[in-house]
Amino acid sequence: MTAVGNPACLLGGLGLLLTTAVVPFLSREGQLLPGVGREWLSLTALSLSGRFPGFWVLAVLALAWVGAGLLRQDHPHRPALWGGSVGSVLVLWLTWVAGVKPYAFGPGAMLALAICLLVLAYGLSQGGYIRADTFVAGSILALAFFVLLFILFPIFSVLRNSVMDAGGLRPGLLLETLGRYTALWRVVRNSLGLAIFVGVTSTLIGLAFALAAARSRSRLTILLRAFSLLPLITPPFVVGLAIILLFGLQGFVTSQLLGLKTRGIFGFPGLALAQTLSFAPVAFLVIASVVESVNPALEEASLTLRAGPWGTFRKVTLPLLRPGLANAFLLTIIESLADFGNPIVLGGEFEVLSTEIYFSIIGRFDQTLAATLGLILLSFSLTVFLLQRYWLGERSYVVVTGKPPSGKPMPLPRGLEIGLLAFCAAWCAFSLAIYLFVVYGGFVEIWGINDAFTLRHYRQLMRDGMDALQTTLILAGISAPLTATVGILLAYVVVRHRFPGRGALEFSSMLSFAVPGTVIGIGYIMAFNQSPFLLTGTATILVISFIFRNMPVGIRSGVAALAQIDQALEEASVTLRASFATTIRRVVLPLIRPAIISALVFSFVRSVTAISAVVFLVSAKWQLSTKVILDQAENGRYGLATAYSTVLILIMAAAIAFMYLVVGKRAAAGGLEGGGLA
Amino acid sequence: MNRWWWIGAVVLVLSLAGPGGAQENVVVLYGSPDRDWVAAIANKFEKDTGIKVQWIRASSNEMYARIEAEKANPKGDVWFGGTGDPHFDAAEKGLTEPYCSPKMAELREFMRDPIGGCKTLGLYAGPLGWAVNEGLLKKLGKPMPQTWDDLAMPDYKGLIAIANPNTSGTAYTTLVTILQLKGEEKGWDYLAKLHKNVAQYTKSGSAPGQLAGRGEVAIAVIFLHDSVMFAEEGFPVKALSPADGTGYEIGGLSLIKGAPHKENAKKFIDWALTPETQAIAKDFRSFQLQSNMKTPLPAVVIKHGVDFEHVKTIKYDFTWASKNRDRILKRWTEQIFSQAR
Repeated sequence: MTAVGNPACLLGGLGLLLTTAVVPFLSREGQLLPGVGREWLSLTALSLSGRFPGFWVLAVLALAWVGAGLLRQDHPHRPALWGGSVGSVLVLWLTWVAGVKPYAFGPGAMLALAICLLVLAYGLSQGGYIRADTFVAGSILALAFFVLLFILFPIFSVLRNSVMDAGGLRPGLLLETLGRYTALWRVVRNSLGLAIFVGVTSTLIGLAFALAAARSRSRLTILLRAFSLLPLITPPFVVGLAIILLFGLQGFVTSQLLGLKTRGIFGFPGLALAQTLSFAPVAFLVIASVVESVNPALEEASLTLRAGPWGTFRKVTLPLLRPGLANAFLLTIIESLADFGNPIVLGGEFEVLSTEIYFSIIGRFDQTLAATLGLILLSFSLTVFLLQRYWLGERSYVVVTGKPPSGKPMPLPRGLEIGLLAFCAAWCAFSLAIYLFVVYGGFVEIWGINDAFTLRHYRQLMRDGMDALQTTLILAGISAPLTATVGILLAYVVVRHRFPGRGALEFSSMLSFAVPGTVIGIGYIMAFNQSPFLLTGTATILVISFIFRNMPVGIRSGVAALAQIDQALEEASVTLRASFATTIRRVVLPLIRPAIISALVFSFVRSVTAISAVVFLVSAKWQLSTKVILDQAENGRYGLATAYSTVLILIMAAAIAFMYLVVGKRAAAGGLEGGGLA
Repeated sequence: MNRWWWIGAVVLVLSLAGPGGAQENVVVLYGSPDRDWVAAIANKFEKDTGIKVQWIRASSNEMYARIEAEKANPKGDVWFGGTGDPHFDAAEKGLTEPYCSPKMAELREFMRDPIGGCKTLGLYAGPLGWAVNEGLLKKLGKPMPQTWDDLAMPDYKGLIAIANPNTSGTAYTTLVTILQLKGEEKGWDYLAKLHKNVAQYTKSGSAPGQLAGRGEVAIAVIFLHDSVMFAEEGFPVKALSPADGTGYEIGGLSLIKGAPHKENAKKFIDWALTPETQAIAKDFRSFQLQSNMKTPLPAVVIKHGVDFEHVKTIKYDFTWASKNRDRILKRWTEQIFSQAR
């Protein structure tokens, strides 16, 4: 027993007291710290208490904690619990009321909130509300706070804008807006029709690939695995541009090879093709994991009972794959609904929700309409997301089970195997041709018009594109370790601990996967462009959007890796009196190292290729490569755009090759799964 | 508690004025013309004045949306270029503020103060016209179009590309040109006929030029300086102006309201209107007529014969265009765009 009654409260109280007295609670917009001197002092909580009496309450709370800390008590968690909850709410409220233009939240507000949350965590842990020590409880609270602020709050801001205008809250506004927007049914039909079509084609192609890769003895399978990487490292627009140049009115295939004169590629056909190319690999990864986990004993039994190879395949294997197929189907639907890069290049007059949101902001200057369409798109994605989670359950998520298969996988029927391999080879060749065209486009004067060899696009890239490339790599590099940390920590608390609100925390953290990027983008602008949380125009907002967009990658890798590790290992460590931190550092982290590295690499890759959310968030000081590519493609400089894309593809291919070298094939594939899904 | 406000304000002013204060020597430039041109402008301003430039490029509509989204906390100082309409709208909505630059006297009269009150200044102007793929028309055995009426002939069905006015300032200029040239009622009839011939409505204003250049369509309705740009870039298109008259755009230059670096922004505006600055536009495939009377007209434009001297322009009423924007777009979308082609 320590000499004082309640060390947590004492420390918390002293810390809070110090914070209120000397650390500036607010800072001026756009600055981390106010200038040293009188401005600094004028912004501490104590100085502000003249204007906002609420700050006195904070100071009183700090004093009360110091007092409680010195007394011996029967229930030391109670002051921590109550004080912590009151304090956290109080700090948030004070930030809200005091953080008005030109001031925004400052270091003091963050510090005070951190202290209150920590003391609250101590209270929750000691009081047995969370069965874990203060560190875990603190992590849970911090994660919950971040998820609230950076995922739920922006979504809420979008929803609020759809029912609120200058006249205040009006639920009828939603209907008015929809009545004004006459294209609604067409757009909704387009979006859903495209998504379902692409869901079907991607799932079928994914199934063909998965069967060929898992069940064929051909060497081609390595190629199939490599193929699954392509869409992950493809910057947006690339596939769309290549398709126009191959299949447009003057396209290489349509015009030169087939002699057709058609512009049919714009709209549904082109979009369906581009999205299938992009999302079939995602479906492949999901289905492959299910194919691999099918127990061969069942198929052997069927053969023993005199069913032929075809009958076995139809009656045993395929039904076993059903959950995997459904999962792949729903995931591709979500991806297709959220897709922005392809429709903006290939859509023509075929309008879909994700681009209509963008154009209602930049074309019609109508934030209310954007918010309303965002709400509609969100409700579709969420419905599918919920179906996927609760109807299919979670079993199909686990890829690397760690259990060895209990027999040799069955070979496919001969005819089927040959057919599948031929189909897959053709599809791979087609994808490859598209990518070769992209590389080629960077080396000719004007793609499709003047095919003289030139290096001028690369020279211009070296001259003008390096700033944005550097910014992109630096910001993606900063966000990658943070994403991995947040994601895996979240996976850890969700998998290993039971606490109230666990399901809600997990669900909302995976939400950022279901929410389309354009919706998140406008949400961030609406939520973080004004006091007290002023972040627009900074690099911070880009890093934060990367972290919370890509966090599901880390969570997926973490959950999959942790599921393989028996909890007994950690219990043994704890039994041997290792502290929690030591257990994490010496036992858990080494075991999930592959998951950490794959989360790192994939969050990096996904940050580099992000466009839909960040197109609203880039600023004069912080520009990203994908935005530069969009600008150049918009002005018809396909050469420069493709040269830039080629460089990005090479950088990301190098990052993934590095991961394979470091963590080995199996773990990398597990990470891939996470990368593809999220 | 008014006292604290005063103290806060004094502290604020002191920190602004004091050495090492918050104000850095930068200007935040929001540019809407060609990306390379904006980049060159930023470099040149840094070199000429020592003031650091942070810049971003986005189309004029996108920039308008950004400035509106940021109005509670403006991040940009000056909005350089891009079609005038969004500049005018921004001025009407109070997103930008008037600045009467001392350089105004040197500007061509029609660009000096396009909507009055120094709300936005003219940076450049360019007439509307076509980019025509002559080779494709010849191959199809169709004549070159001469007037707007020609474009509505059944001959050109499926051969015309134009931007969607809901997302593009260029296309809105086209609508207004037709309505002002032919009068409202005849204008709407004409637009309905033209609609039957359109192969594709694009989202961005200059994209039709590419479609014509690549032979996806034969005629693109775009600004003539963009036609020249595509031709110079190596696309097989010819810049043509309608014989019966055409409208034009004025590129705006506006001071953003609440600009964080207002003094530098004013310096930038004065600097951007000098002939030395404006002369570099042509090096970045931007062939508009620059607003300063002393800025020479690029030889290329004269070569293509589409300078203001050789193009028949109508008296384009910007104020009318701005005031009727919502009505015209609504009517076009509902009555014309929704019809089958």
